[in-house]
Amino acid sequence: MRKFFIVIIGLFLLAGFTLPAQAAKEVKFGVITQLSGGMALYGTNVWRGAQIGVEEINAMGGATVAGEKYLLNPIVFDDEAKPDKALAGGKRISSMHKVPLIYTPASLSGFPLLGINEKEGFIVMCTSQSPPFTEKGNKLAIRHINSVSRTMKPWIQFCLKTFENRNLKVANAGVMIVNTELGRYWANEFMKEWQAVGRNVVEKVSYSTEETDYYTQLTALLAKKPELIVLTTVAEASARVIKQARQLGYTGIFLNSVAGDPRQLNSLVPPQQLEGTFVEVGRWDYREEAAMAFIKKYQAKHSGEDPQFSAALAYEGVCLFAKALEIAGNTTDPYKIRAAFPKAYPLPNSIFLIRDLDEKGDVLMPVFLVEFKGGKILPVKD
Amino acid sequence: MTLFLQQLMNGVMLGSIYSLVAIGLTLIFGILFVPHFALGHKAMLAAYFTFFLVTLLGMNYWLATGVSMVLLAGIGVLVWRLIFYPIRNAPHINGFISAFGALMFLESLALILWGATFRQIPISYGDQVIKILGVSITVQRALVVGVAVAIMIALHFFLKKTLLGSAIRAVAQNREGALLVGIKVNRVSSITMALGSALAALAGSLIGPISLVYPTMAHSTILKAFVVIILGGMGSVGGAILGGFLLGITESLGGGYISSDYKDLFAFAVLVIVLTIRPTGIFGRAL
Repeated sequence: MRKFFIVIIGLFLLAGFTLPAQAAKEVKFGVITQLSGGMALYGTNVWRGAQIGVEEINAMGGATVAGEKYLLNPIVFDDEAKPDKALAGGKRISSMHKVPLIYTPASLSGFPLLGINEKEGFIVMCTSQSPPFTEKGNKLAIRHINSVSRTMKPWIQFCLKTFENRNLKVANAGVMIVNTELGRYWANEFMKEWQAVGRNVVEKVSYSTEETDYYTQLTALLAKKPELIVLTTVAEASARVIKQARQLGYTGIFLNSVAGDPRQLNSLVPPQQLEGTFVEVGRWDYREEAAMAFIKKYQAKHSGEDPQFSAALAYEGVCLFAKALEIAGNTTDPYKIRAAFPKAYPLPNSIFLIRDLDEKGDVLMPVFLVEFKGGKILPVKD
Repeated sequence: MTLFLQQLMNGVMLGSIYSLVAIGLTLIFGILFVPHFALGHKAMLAAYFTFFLVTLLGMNYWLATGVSMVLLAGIGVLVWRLIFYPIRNAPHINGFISAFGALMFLESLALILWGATFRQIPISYGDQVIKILGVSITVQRALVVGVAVAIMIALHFFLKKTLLGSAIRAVAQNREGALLVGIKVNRVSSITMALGSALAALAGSLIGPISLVYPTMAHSTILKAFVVIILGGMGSVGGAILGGFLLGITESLGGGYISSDYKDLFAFAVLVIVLTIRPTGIFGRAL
């Protein structure tokens, strides 16, 4: 028995001494996300998705940069959905770890980082949909999602065609504006393009996702008899809006954009209340092969829990970063890595089909619609 | 007219939740002189308890609400004994910081135990809507108002007519005096903490089926409840009730008729106006 312990201890010591010597080179990158606070569900998904990307790449020995293997080492920071914390996190990660890239999933964390990233020398890869993200002339900004101003016009036309094909008369829209930066941009862009095609906005009200009761806003909105209620927020708040509007007697259509996961909505709202709801989706929601493969990996790691699309986006972000490193042949110079990025798109087996990264930092990411009918989520394929 | 009545009803419903949490806050403040920031998070905890009792054990929603109230009363006593009792003679700032600590602890605990996923308490009568004079209100919302008002009346009689209620009021009015006449102040403190926590638990369980249950669900409620007790006068139960309804109705009418952009602004404007005229709040006495 004693011998056995001595052997075990010996093995541990051996492992302890030999591991550092064998450790491969590594490249660090930052993930600033919301692990607590009001956006914790969304932010935790981001971190988990990024970890899956890292594990997958490291399992294959890491990224091959200039003939050498580099393991990815993500440094995570919880910004609690607060811009000042995000900025502090960015400063800390860049000064302590000299990362060439920080991935972050929201405008509230992406924008503060744009203030320091060129000086500190790191790329900000962000899923902010606010137009100004790429309009500040920042040379190290990459938007990792479609830009609102680039997709609004064709998207509205697609929506109108969809309504027409279903004989739905939709002229008067009521807009629910969520009090986030993106919410306002999105709503303004929507109202501009909606009125440009000769339709009306009969009322607009604003709300916060922190609130639980929207009766006040909905009562004011419904008094103007809209045929369409436009929402721009995450599934949980959308679910509350839809339920409460139906309780107040609204029978029209809902059109929901921006991160409204249709599956989550389906689990939170009874089917009869969801009837006549349209949600903007990316290819992710069509659950094709690449998406399914990611979902399986995620579920295997997190006791069967369903990932949000933010997880899949972070996963692809990490894969794109690794590929850009390989193309750049460099792990430290953010400008060389940024210059290599456009060649990294599209990823083989991409979930979102993100492509065409331009000089400004904008990409193309196709968006579609799904509709809720009889408790089912059906892709609109007109 | 229908629109006005609907907005008024919306405000009353909001107000009853604010009032419930505010009564708990004001009772605890009156006795312990601690602004108990974590009370909203106790409401959140109770909403989770109710959710699990209903979904996992198949318990009746109202029974589950009762059980949650008892559980939270127990947690309230525990929080008082472990956190506030040891620092009862320390400067007020310690209680202030401890209350914040309790808030962070409870929120993180919920996040670790149950994750950030949103949950919904299922209720048998679902989304049934009652229509009176053109005003739509769901059964649950009507019950929230009814139960809240009933509890407020019961609490009024408890405080005014029972020996224990008198003891609570006595300690709130003059701690040393209460000690001198033989009131067990520590016992009264723990009972007040239990009572305040149970009221918060009721608020959390009532709002659960209307809203969703998640770790940060109480953030805006607790902030508003603080506005309410300052508005009504720190330590005054009547002030908490009146302040709660005043705030709910102001938010609802202001948001509905002027602009929903400034919904919260109206709440704080009322606070500023009331404090300018009566710096101690509506029913507050000078500290």
